Amino acid sequence: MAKTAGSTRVLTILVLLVAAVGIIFAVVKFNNKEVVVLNKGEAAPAFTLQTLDGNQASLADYKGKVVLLNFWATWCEPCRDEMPALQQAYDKYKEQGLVVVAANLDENNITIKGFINQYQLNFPILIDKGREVALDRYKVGPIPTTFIIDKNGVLQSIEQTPLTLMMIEDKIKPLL
Amino acid sequence: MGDEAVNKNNKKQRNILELVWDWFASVKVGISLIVILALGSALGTIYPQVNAIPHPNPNFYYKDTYGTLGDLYHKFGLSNMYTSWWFLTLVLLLGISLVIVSIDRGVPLYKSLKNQPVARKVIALRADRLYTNKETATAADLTALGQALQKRRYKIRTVDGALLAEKGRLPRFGAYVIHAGLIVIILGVFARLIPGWYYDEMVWLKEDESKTISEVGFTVKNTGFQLEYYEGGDRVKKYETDLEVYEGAQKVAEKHLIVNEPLTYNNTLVFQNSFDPTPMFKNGKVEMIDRKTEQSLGTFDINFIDPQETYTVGPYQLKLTNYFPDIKVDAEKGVYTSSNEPYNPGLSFEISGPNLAPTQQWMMPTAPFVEQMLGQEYPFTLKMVDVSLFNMTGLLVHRDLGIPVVYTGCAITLYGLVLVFYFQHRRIWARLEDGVLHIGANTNKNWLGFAKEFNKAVEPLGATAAVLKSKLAKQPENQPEPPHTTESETGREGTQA
Amino acid sequence: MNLLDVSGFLYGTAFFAYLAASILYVIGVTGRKIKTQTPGAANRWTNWGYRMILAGMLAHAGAITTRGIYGGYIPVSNMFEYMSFWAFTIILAYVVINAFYKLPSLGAFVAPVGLLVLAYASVFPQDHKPLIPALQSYWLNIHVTTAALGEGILTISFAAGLMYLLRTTDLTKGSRSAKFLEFVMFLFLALLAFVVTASAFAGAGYSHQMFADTPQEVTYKMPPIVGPTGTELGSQGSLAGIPLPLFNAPSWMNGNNASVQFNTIIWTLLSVAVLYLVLRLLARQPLSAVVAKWVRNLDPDMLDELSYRGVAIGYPVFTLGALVFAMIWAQEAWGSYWSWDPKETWALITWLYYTAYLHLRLRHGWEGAKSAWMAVAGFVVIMFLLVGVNLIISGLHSYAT
Repeated sequence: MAKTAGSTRVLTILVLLVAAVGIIFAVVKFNNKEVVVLNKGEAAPAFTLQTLDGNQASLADYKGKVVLLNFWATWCEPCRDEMPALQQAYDKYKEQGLVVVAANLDENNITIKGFINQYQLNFPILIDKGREVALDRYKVGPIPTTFIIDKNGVLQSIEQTPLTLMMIEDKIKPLL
Repeated sequence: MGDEAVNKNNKKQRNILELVWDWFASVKVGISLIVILALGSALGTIYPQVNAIPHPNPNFYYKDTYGTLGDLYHKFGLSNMYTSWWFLTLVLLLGISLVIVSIDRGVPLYKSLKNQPVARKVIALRADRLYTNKETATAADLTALGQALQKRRYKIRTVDGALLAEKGRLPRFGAYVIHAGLIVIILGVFARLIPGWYYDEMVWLKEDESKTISEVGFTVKNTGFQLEYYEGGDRVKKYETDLEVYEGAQKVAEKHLIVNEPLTYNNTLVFQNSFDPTPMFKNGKVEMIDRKTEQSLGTFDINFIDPQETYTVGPYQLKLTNYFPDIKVDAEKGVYTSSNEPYNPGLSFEISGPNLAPTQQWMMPTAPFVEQMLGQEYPFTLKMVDVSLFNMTGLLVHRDLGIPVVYTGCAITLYGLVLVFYFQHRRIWARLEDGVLHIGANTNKNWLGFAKEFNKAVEPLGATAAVLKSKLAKQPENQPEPPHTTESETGREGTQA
Repeated sequence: MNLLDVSGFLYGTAFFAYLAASILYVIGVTGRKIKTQTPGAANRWTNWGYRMILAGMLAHAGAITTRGIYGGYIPVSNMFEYMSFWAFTIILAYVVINAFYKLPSLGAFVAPVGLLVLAYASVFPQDHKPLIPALQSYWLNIHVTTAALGEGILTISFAAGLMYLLRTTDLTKGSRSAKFLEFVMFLFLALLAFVVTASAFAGAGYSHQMFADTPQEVTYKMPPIVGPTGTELGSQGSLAGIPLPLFNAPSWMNGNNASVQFNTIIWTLLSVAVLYLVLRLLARQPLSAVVAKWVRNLDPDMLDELSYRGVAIGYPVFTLGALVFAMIWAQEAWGSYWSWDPKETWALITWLYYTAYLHLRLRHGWEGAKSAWMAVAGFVVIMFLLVGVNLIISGLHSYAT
């Protein structure tokens, strides 16, 4: 029985090998697409967002302080649950250079204001209209997500679980 | 000595290559791959895959709904297995096998059929399943046979004293056409991995809402959504969207979207795929009534999507101090909103005015009992006298540039199937030797039908009708085998009783 | 009387015609006088059986047409419509094959199968509902009807394969093949038992609602031998003096209707056990031995060939209808030609199964018994595709609510 020439075989196998490698590479890349996060040690991305009274605030405004940047929304139960802890941390450490900045994901002012009154919060609250900072710059997935940024603007940790006062203290004390 | 080593190396290399090649070319391996692929696919149907579950968080869903088994299913990755590396590798292996098999068998078959001799030995003809002869034959008989067969659409090749009549050579390659079609389909599916070739996401739009999708390069806007139910209200009759497409600020396309009729723009399709069955509040007109006098004080308008902060009704000022688009009241958790969408708006007003200490009042259009319970002491009644609701439309934005490839592959595969199952490869050889015309014939399937055609062609010449030999009849000893390159030539592909 | 009523009447007519055909065929292949005739030859009984088949087929076609005209679409949109359409294609495939391979004994197998499928269809709600938007496309007609045709033809290969096995297996020895064949008979009876039980309770108007641990109430169409998890035993009525339920579904059975399905299975097992025992006692031999008499002295090679032909003809049709047309319709309606929906996946699995069958037969010489067993098992795969996926696995595609 006539066999396929050796050269044809070699060529075919080479072509298939290249194709296979290319495809597997693309598959792995495709499956890992979602996992894009910021890394500890990077400079925290800059942002400028509006406050409730219509002014603007930037990350640069807080240089020199330890920033607890929290992304939240009123419809998110764990976010609501951790707010008292954030307020406590702010009260306790603001003299020592901590600032809690809570960026709200695109809710309307009245809802946010009502919430602030309900929970009696007095740290800066910003509005991320369109969620651009959260999604594009900080690669936030589920909320609450808190970024802890040191006095030099470097990202020190990313917390994706609701925080307690103790957890916050552990993270910020070394940075203050 | 150097040469020896080189030769040994080459031999080893060839052996590995040969091993790999033969492995992929083996039918057994191919069948095993098919079976494993089938079993693997079945695994993915035990529980719904992640792209089909209603809950956005798969980590909890499987455990909650299906218990421990479901949790294990998810943890082992079976809940998202069709894009997993092992499944895709299986498909890839099958694709490689298809390529190698087709080259391994198709190329030699092509060569041998192309180079097959016209004149076969008489001994070989006698051994054919269909054989007959005519004594006292002449060259004229040979020519006549050729003409008769030509009328039946056979291609005739002649040399001195012999002819080969052949038809349906292409169907002989049917299997390889099928394989080629399948390879094209697999390529079309894998083409989804090429960046920019594939996008598939749902876009939910409220009334007049627009969203920009950077991956496909345009913005979609819902300018009107219509929803209708059949009488009885439990079965949906139609849901359609007036859709506008923008690039930047410029409108570039629009269409009234119906299910099964998408809008096409920039190689991307926008489908009316689904809708949110729970209506949302859009606008409302609220009447404020003095409880004691039961007199209407006036009305004000509310936009539930983006409400304003202050309202004036007569001499009174209403300030919206808190707004819950989807209000829930829980004994333990308190008052909160469970989503960002105005499904069940709850509004907290602070009303101030002449002769009135600022008083707080709730308004919950969808929970009148709760409102009543809370508002026994309210000085006013806030009554919704007009409301417009809307449903969110669910559009699927889909781009798959591999679709034409897949469809082409399907067409090729179907063509191959037709070739394999509905056509056959028939050959008739005739040899004039010593005044006797020997005629033998071969086909790859449907011997009975072929025998009929064969006899119809040879009998007018005076040859005796051939009798189809049983396929179990042994070949006579010392006879060269009829020319064949694959087992299929010996007629194993089914006979007709 | 509107067209829908006419359609219902015609479905009933087809049912009784198939029933008559089955009886006539069976008599035709087993009667004492027939023993002396050449095996497989037609006789008066089988001829009348064939006429009944034709009559039933015409009535069936009429039923489908009238229901289609009434609704404005070819009736294949729910379990009842689809199953009865499949029964139609089985009978149609038989009539067409009979034109090429005159084999009356085949009728003795195909008619009961067609009958049973139609009976099974009647268990499902027959009410006519207008189409939801996703189904409003002419591709629906093309895809489902072609797929059903392919499945009908493949059913013939199942019947011929079964006949081959009954003809060639020695049923007196308790070999594995003999046991499997008896199991196939048992499965057939199980489906019959289910249909009879479900119809009996439906005919008696039985319906029992319960509020249990489940979020919604559950409705039992058969007396609840097994209740939903957490139900007080004996609290839901009684059957012949026995308080129900006797036990509850274990808590690992999730899903609103898990206990109802479990209950149905139990009832089916009970009825088939009774049915099987009664028939076995009457026959005093394995049931497969009884049925094997219908194929005595037939040419096994011809049966083998017929079974293969069924696949050879049905496979391309199935590929076209259940895969290619399905992909085109899915692309139109859902925006994606393939989304690994359970029904799509199982259609692919069925296709892969028959691909393996063809390769094993054509390239590995798997003829005879091996091929016949694959044809029989292939029918089980088809049944899972049509019944299992729809009822057990729910998804975008299923007819299950």
